[in-house]
Amino acid sequence: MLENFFFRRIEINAECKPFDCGDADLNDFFQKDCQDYLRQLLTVSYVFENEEETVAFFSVLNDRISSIDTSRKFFRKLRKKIPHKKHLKSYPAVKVGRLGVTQKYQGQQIGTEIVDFIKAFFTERNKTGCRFITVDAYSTPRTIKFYEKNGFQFLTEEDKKDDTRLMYFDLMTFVRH
Amino acid sequence: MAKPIKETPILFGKEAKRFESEIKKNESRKVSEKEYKRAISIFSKVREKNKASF
Repeated sequence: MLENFFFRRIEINAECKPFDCGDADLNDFFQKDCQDYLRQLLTVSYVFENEEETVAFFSVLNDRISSIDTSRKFFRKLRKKIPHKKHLKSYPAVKVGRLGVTQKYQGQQIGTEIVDFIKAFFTERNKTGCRFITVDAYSTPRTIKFYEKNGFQFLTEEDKKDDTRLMYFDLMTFVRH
Repeated sequence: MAKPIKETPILFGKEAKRFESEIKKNESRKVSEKEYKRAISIFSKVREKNKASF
């Protein structure tokens, strides 16, 4: 279905067609914040649209997943003594900061198609290394279920009570080589 | 202003070990061929229709 729409990157001051996904916060991000984020080089947003409206959008930014096999407390002590973070492993990632589908097109698998598109977008002749897709997912059962269905896992248990939860998808499970 | 996009935290201790163990397993796990082909097909069709955006 995505192929029926036009795809473009949102440029600074470019007009966007109407969008309403039914979530005030996400609408607000699309209508106001994504231009500010773009100006500050924090996110790049893309839209799928037709002649009348914005069907869906997503905003992405560079990210990384870092892990240290010691406790947080021990790491603080260790860091003072060892200048280089010897125990730190870090992996490049792309974060889907926000993703929304307008109400009229919800329930038609467009969200899943966009996630599929992003998986290929960041593995097919990618310009930089990218091992993971991370997502700052709204903590609603519907959103969490959506990302789980698309192969995402929770990154941490520490954000269980937050408004959003961090999840990741390992692109190693996607590539064929 | 909408909720800011949350930063990805550094994983420590047990969570770090669990994560490293998961991604080690992922080296041999693959999404199904059907799922992979579906994603590549969508991507290719969108790219073909919107060449100027790529």
